Amino acid sequence: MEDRIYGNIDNVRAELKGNTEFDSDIEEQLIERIAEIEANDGVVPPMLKPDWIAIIVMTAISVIGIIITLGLF
Amino acid sequence: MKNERTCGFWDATFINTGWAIATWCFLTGALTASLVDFKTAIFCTVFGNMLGVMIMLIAEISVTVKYGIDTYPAMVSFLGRNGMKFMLIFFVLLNLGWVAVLSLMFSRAVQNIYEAISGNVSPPAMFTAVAIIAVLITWLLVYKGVRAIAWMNRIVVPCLAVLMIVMFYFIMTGYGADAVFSSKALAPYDNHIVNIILCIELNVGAGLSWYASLGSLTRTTKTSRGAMWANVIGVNFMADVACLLGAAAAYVIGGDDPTTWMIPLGGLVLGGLGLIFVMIGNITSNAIVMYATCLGLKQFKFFAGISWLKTTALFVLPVLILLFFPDFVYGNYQILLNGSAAFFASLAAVQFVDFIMMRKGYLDLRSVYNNKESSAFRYWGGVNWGGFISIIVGGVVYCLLLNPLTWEYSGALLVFKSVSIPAFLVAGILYLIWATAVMKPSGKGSIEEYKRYFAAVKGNQ
Repeated sequence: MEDRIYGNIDNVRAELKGNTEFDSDIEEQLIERIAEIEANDGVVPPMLKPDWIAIIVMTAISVIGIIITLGLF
Repeated sequence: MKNERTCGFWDATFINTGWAIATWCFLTGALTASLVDFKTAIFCTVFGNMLGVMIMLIAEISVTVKYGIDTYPAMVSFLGRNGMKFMLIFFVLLNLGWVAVLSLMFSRAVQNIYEAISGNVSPPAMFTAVAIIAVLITWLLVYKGVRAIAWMNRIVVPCLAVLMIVMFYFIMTGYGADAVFSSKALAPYDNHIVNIILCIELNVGAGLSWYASLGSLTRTTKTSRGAMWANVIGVNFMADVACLLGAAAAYVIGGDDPTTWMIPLGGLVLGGLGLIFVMIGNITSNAIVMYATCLGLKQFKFFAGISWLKTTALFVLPVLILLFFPDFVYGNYQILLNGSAAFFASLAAVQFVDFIMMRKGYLDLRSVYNNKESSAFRYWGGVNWGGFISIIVGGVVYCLLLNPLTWEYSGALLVFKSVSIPAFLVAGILYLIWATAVMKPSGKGSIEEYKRYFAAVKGNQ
C-alpha cells in the first residue's frame, strides 16, 4: 500500500476501478465516497471520551452486577 | 455520507426501541421467569442485557458509525470477503426465521382478538393468511426505506411505552405487587446457581442478538454519540422493561405468549389495544431485520445488480414459504434465540481485537471493496481462516458449556459461571495470536496500514 495517497480521488480510482463487484456508475460513487472519507478520517466524528467512559462504566457495572447476582441469590 | 444521514438522536432512539420491543422481548421475559423468581429476574435482565449490549457496542458501533457502512462490510477486515459472505448466509437464514416467527406472532394476536370478540375459534387457515399479510406490510415498509420505518416508529414507540406502563399498572393493581415480587421460578433446573447463570446468559444473548442488524441503523445516524445512546436506550433499557413485563405476566397470569395474556389482563378494549400495538411493534421490528438483511445481501454481486424491490422480494419469498409450516417455525423459535447467541459473542470479540486493538480504529475501505488479489483483505482464497476459525472455536466453546438447542449444560458451567464470556475470551485471544503471529509477519490484512494512514492524515492537517 506504499503508493497510496489518502484522500486523493484519482489514487483511489487507480486502485479500485474495475476491481469491485459493482456497476461502473455505482463504483464511481463508491470511489468518490472513499476518497472523501479518507480525507476526513470518517464520515462523522467518532464517539467522544465521555461516551467511551460511559460504555466502560456500564460494562463494569454489568460485570459487577452479574457477580453480585451470582453471589446474592 | 453526512448529508445522507437522516436519523437524529430521537429518530434513532425510536427506531432502536421499535426494533427492540416486539413479542421476542416478552418471550425472553417468560423464559427468564421459568428459571428464577422476579427479584432475581430483575438483576439478571438488567445486568445480563447490559453486558451483551455493551460488548456489541464496543465491537461494532465505532466502525459502522465512523465509516457509514453496515455490519457486513465491517466484517471483511477480519473474515475476508468470502468469509464475510459465509457469515452473511448464516445471518440471512437466521433472520428469515425471525421474520417468520414475528409474523406468526402477529397472526396469533389477530386470532386472539378475533376469538375474544366473536367467541368462536378462528379458522386454521387464518393463521397463515394473516401472517402473510404481516410479511407483505413489512415488505412495503422496507421497500420505502429507513425514513418510512422512522416515521412509523415515531407513532408506534410512544404508544408501546404507554402500553407497557399501563400493563405494569394492571398487573400490580390486579394481582398485587406482592404476588409479583414473591413469585417463584416457573420451571427451574434443580441447581439454583445454574438457573441464575442460564438466566444471565439468556439476557446476554438477547443483548448480543442485535449484532447482525445494528450497523444498518447506526450508519444512518447523524452522530456517533446519538447512535450509541439511542442504542443503549432502545435495545438495552426499553428492552429490559419489556422483558420484565413479560416475566411479570408469566408469573401471575401464565404463558409465554403475550397474545394469550394481554386480553385477560387488560380486558377486551385495553388488552385488545395493547395487542394491536404489540402487533405493530412486530411489524416495525421485522422491518428493521428485513431492511438490514436485504442491505447485507447487496454484498453479493447478483443482488448488487438488481433493484431494491427485487432484492426484498427474493428475501420475502422463503419467508412466505416458511409461513405454511407454522408449527415448525413457532415451535423452534428458541433455536433462533439460543443458536445465534452461541456465535455473536465470539464474533464481537474478533471484531474488537481486529478493529480496536490491532488496527487502532482504522478500516481500509479500499481493501474492503476491492474484490481482486491486490486487496489487503484477499487473505487466502478470500477468507481470513484465522478469523473464521476463531469465531467457530468460540462458538464451540459456548456449545460445549451450554447446548443452545437443548439447554443441556456441562459441569464446567458451574466453574466458569458464564458461557458468553469464555466464548468471547477464547475467540478474542485466538484471533490476537493469529493476527500477531501470522497476519503481521505475512503482511496479510495489512494490519499496520493504520500507521501510514494516520501519519498521512496528520500530515495533511
